[in-house]
Amino acid sequence: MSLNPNDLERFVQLLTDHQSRLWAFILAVVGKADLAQEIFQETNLVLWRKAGQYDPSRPFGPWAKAIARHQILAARERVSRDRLIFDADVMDRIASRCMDESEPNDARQLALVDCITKLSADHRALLDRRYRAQQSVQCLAAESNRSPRGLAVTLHRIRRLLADCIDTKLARGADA
Amino acid sequence: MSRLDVESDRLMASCLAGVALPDEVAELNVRMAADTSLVDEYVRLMRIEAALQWQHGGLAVPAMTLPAPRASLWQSRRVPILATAALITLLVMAWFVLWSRESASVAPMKPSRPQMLATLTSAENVSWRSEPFYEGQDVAAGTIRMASGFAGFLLTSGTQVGLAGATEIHLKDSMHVGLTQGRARFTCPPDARGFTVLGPGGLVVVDLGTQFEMAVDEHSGRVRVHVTQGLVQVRTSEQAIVAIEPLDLTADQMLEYDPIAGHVVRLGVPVAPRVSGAVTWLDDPPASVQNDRLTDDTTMFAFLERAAVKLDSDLVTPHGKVAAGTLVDVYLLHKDATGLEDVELEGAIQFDRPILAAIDDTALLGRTDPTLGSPYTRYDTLSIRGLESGADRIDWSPERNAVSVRWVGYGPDDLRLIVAHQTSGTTVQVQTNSRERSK
Repeated sequence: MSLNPNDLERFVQLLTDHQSRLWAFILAVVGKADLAQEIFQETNLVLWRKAGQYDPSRPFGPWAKAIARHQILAARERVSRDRLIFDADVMDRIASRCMDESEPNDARQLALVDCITKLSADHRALLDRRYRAQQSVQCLAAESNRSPRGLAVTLHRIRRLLADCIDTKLARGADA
Repeated sequence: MSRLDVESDRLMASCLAGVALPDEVAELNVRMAADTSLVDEYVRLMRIEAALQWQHGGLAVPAMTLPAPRASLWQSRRVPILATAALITLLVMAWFVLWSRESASVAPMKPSRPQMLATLTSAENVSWRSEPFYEGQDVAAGTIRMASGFAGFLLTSGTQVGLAGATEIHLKDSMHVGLTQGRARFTCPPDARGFTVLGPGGLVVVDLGTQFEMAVDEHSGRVRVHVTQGLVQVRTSEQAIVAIEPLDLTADQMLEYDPIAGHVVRLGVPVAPRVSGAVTWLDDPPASVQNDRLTDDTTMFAFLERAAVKLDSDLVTPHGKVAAGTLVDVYLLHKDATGLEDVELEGAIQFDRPILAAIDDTALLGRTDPTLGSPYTRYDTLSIRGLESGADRIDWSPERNAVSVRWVGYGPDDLRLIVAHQTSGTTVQVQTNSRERSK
């Protein structure tokens, strides 16, 4: 099965639009960023190769996630256990839970940007150093004379704040 | 949000940060296999983690790279595919660039100019109405206008100036500034004795070694001067239409100058209420009560947010109604634990006059932060910080001059108390002399 130029353009658009969601799916199931990165690349390659098999009348997200899930299974067989966080059973539970997600990605991303602006300056600076400057938790903890576990708790609280904020915003949007 | 037990929460925090030990990872596996709600919360938080990584373009997020397409499918479409690959790479990079631009904490300094009077030492959520400044930037003589936010300047005289909200201040030189609108806090070192602030209507406030705050009401032009430490002298300039006798203000004294009516009124500064149980009284408002900023597992905190606030409109709260025009003092009780473990705190605060109203609702707390909250304190706009159903509780004394609070949880909780302004007989008309401006 081949794609005509219009279908190809549509496929490219869908793949582009779903990149962040694919990343979130793979990272959630795998739990470790380095392995998630490998699987993310592999998944994109497979998606390109299977472009002709995609049925444009069906939603792209579940199809792409199914392929990603297959790549995760393959990686689970391939890599050593110490590169994995979760047992097979838990990974399946997480994957199943993630397959259900259907919120518009754009709205979620916009809500996140807005919610970040409401964090305290210290927390924004911490996110900036952790994610943009890519400083490790251990490094950030040492610089601030805190334990890595203490800093992990702070990051956890920030994630939860942002998650609550986004959920609230999306719920308000849904009600409107 | 589904609340997890503390141990599960802690395990998840360590795993998400990549600092969990192998036995902790194993324990989290066991718990997640047995508890669906734990999986749900993990997915909810992991989506945030992934989005943060994606938006910041950092950590492990790779720009998508593609090989040459397969001939059977892509043979005639090499150019658009490569262009698309490049587009995707650009999109990923765009997030990074945009974020970098937005979040840069120290922007490049502008070329220095002669006769710099001050340096911007801090800026938080500032929306500038004048030319924007960046942290670390030197500032010359001129007018600084802010629409919102907090900014801190260090003058070359050593005086620290904190601005809050919609404020306009004119820097004449390092010892003379003019406040025409908004709020400013001045902290003057001994070397800056004589530092002078000019206010509307020819008001002159001269520092004699102190910290003081000034606020200029945008609509009425009234000026508040509140001395928090030391001593200032307040008078009017030679050019003022209304002349007032110079008067000294010492620590914890406050006055209001009405340039239109031409009078000065001393306002009483409330004495600290009595606190008991797990309550610690703060003499000054803290810089922040945002999530995870003012934390303690053994005590909550209480402080005076604003004194002698005249309500613009009726204030209706779940615990009382206050009519427009009432002069009130506003206090905040605040609790926040240090970590993820729930703490249970119980304490009381007692006033020598009735509590007129209390705000324990997150939305109403947020709505009243700008008008009743301390202008120098950052408040949380993200957390559910009101009284949550369940274990949290408020009990009133029969005279309604005291309230005891019981809070359970680890996140921030706030209770705002509105009390009739305490005059204590100190509100007096200060002698003034009116005179014609010479033409």
